[in-house]
Amino acid sequence: MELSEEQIVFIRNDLQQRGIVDPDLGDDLLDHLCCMVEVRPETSFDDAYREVMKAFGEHEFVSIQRETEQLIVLTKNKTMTTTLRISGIGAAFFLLVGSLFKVMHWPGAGASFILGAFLLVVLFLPITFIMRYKTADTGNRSMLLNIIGAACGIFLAGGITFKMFHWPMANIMYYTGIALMLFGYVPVYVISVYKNSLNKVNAFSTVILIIAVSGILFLANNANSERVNQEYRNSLMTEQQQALALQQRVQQIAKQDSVRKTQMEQVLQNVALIRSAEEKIVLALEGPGATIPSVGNMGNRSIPLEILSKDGTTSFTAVTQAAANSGITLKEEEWMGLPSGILLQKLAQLRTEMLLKSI
Amino acid sequence: MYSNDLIRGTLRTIILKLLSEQDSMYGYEMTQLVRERTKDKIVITEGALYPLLHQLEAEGVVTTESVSIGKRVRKYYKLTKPGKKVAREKVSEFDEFLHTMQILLDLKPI
Repeated sequence: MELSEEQIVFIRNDLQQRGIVDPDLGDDLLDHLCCMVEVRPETSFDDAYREVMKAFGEHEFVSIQRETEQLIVLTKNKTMTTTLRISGIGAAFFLLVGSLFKVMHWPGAGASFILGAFLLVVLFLPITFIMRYKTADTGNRSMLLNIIGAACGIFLAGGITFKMFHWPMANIMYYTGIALMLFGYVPVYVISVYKNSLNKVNAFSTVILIIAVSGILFLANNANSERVNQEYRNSLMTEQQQALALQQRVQQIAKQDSVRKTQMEQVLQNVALIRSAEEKIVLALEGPGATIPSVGNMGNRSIPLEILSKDGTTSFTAVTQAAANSGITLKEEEWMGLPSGILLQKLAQLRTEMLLKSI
Repeated sequence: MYSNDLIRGTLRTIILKLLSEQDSMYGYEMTQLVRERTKDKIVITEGALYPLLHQLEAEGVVTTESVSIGKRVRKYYKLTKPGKKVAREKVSEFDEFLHTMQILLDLKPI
């Protein structure tokens, strides 16, 4: 059967109606269908065309188009797929090694972890998102889901990394990630899936899984910070009490022993200077009225040593001088950039050491 | 007719081989030629053929030439120069694979 121009136009329109928008593929399929119709034994075009379509099936056309698009995206983005693979494997490897080293207290844990997190946050997650976006089925919701998903991953991974290094904003990032997951991903997912998914049971379990994971992430972080805070407060308290007990003993000696009185008072004065430096740190961290044992997880914040010389009464140089009077040399690099909690501990230990030396 | 799984893995080789024999072919022609030669034992579906052809084009293995036939356009696929090398490699790889399978499955040689 020879096809007329109208019949060819009819098939072309029919293909368009069935969702073929790629003109290249459209030409291929049109020619193919025409060839198939031409060799049919039926005498009427309608019958022949119906038989050909039967052989194809309803969803076939769109799925041919989708598969073509996906294959082309994958081919054209070879560098991207390679980067995706390498960064993915690298991220997993360095994060695992970093975690292992951290647990074992081996050196290099931080560097490895940060490299892994970098690969994850800067390469793997954004590329995953871009690739998914390019190969995604049409529909704004799946794209929105991808954006939210990628953002979740970036915030969570970033938050955990920041936490490991006691950098500021760690908790904010971490909780933003969880909140995005719960209040962003889940609702959009539910809406999109319940509209067009065939497998609602699967979707249901996915939602439950996400909620459960968010809960665990939230609790894990809370429980952990609580435990870390508690341990930290306990050890701070111990340091403080130790230093205080020694100080009282030195004061007693100063009262009783007139020979060593001047020397003792000198030491006490130096100790008082360090003590006031500690109070200044606490004030900077927690605001007025706070006491050293009340320092909470803000102790994670690393503070510049310059804070000591803020109002001119103390400074790191003064602390160094006070320590030097008792024969203790402080190396500045060992004191730089410490989390304030550690700084407080070190100062209290310094007081203890100075007092011990004087006795 | 063989199962789709078997054909899927060999489709690329089949198409490249066909194109290395003929100067240029269009999609429908390929499906018919394969049907003929294999006596309907291998039937290439459109759903597998066209995504592959477009992928090969994106990879630079084949080029196309469009010829208007009345109201429709027929696209002829043709191997590029690097494509010819790829075709040879694919066929000889498959040849080796066949030999290996013969040994592995203890089959009589063809």
